Amino acid sequence: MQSVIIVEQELKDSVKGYGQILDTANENKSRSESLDKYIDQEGKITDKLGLSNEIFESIVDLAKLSDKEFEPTFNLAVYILIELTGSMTEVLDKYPTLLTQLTNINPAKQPTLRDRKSIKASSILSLLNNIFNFLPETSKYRIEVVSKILSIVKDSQLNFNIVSQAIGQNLVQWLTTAGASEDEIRSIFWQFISLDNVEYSLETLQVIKKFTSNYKVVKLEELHSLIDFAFKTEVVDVSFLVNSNVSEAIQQYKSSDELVALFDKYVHGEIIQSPSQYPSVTEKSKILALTKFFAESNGVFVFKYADFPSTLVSSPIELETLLIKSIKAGVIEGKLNQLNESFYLTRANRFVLAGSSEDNTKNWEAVEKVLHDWKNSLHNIKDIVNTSRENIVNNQG
Amino acid sequence: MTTSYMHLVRPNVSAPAASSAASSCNVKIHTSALFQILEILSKQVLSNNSSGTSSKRIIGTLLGLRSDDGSEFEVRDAFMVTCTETGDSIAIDEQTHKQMYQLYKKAHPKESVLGWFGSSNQVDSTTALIHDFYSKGSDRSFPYPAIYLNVDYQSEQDLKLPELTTYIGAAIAGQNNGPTRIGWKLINQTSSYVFTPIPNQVITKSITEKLALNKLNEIGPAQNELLLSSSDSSKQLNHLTLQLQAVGLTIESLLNYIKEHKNGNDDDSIDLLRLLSNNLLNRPQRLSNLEELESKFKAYNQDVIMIEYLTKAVKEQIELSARLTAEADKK
Repeated sequence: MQSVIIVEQELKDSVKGYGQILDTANENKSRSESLDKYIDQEGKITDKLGLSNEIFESIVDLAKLSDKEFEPTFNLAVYILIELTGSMTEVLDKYPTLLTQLTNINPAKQPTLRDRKSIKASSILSLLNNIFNFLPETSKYRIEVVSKILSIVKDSQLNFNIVSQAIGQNLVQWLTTAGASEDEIRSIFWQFISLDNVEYSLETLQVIKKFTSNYKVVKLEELHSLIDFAFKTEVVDVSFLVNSNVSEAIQQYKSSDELVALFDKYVHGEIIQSPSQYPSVTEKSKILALTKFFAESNGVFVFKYADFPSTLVSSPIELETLLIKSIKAGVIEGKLNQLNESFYLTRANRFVLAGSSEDNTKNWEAVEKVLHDWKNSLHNIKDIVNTSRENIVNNQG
Repeated sequence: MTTSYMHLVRPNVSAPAASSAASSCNVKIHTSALFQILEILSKQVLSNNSSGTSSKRIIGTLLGLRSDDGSEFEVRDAFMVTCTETGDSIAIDEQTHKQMYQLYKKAHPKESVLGWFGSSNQVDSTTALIHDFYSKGSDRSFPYPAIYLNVDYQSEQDLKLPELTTYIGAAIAGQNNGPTRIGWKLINQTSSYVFTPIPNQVITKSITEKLALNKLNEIGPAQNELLLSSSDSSKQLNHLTLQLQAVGLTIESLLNYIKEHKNGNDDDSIDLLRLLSNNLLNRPQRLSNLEELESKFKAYNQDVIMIEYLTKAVKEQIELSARLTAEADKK
């Protein structure tokens, strides 16, 4: 599924129209006159190569147009170049600096609200988006276009939401189909992840998880990038990030690297002291330690305040705050009774990590038991409902 | 879902009311609208042709809602518009479009024309002409940008599962025949567009609709009539029984899956274990304790009856009070 350009006029008219637009921007007639040289009196194009070179050279002048005029005019230039050379791939083969020329037009600073004329970064993104869609899936130029898009989002400090869904879900597939090497894929992927530097969202964590399931974490820097993201995000339980590849990397580096050792403790639910660059980690690790406490107390659902270990909290108010924060983080569910000073647990997360086969075997057995119990109890539900219904009907009668 | 195309921001469109905010577009197609479109296509094309393939162009109008910033489109209905294609030109029955739209507007005053649908296997110059028709003039998408939904159901020789593709038409600068000053109005005088694919998803309007669809899928057409006409009170617990059986079967298949995969250390098994552990373990086992379940169910029923009773009592009180006030006013 590709973008398609349809222009309802002859090529010579498009060339003339393009020349006129540039003349208006330049406030002279030089571009029209130089483009007219390539069209003879019968309206035929005499020198295709010369004309396409001239069109390519004129692209720098498009920076003088207003934002609303810029995108349609660039589209027209692309249309003319495609018509003259054959396809988008051939255009980029012939003019490899076209993408750089386009990104150079990107404003260094975001235009102010008052400024309604300057070209916006979103227009450049839209054009790169179009070029990407003009190219066949296997074209290597798609790799370059994606890189340019990421650098524009970074340089112009655009909101990550613009690219998070559109690129996050498809990035690896696009790069693989376009024939990118594994190193290129890794480098572009972590460049993309580094753009989410404000929200550190759950969606990006899921993208990292999907990526590390398919690609081994070979370098310590990659593991550091993953840990950095996991510590900075608001998501507390990041145990889902520890798949087989990440688990292997943690085992490999935890004895030699402090940050990796700290992350290993964190995902196992131990309370850790925050490194200076991650101020919220202690708070998050306390929530996980509380979750671990619940997960290990099999069969108990009502907890008195006194039952909680003193290493977690020192006062009832602190405990209540921690419980509420844990519920908010989605790692536990339950009801807090302040009068009775008790907590009724209805659900708690478990730390299921790849690589810890003993714990996982126990968890599988526990899950099987619960499913068997559930299945057996379903048989009598219909009778209960039927009896209750008859009781209601009889009582009302 | 992964796609081969990219859609970051809505391109610059020539519609005057299009928002200038940089946001992506998304099209939601209601199942009822999709059925309508597929029915139109099947009646017009498939019934007239034994092989099912046809070069005849079928188009129609998409109706529904669009968000304030013009980035979300919700296709709720569609109708066919007749057209005659001769060579490179096309004649669209504008009058039919207008009458059908005005009729629809009477019943759905908040909805409007979003764009059009077609069943072509390629985007060509006629596509641009039709898109231009829907982008300009009254009783169409104007002043908002039109969308184009293509339902491609033809492979080279035979039929295939319909593929839905939605496009938005980005503007291309046209030849300037007017004064030297280039204003926005002078751009895109011709019907020229860059058709850029935008994401779409098929959605169900309500839970009731979804339930009905599931039901129709479950059983054959001959049984549907029987089910819909059945109102025997003895069958009232049929649905519950079916649902319990369904849950039982799901648990059974899950247990079988676990038996086969519990020794595996692959990421998918670990993800499944994590999901099941987080949701099933450390939970009070209310379902397995029948006595507790029965007492809770009874208590719940009592609550419902009590609420019904109180609602009825309050309603009667309000009505009585209204009558008394009316009587007092008369005197």
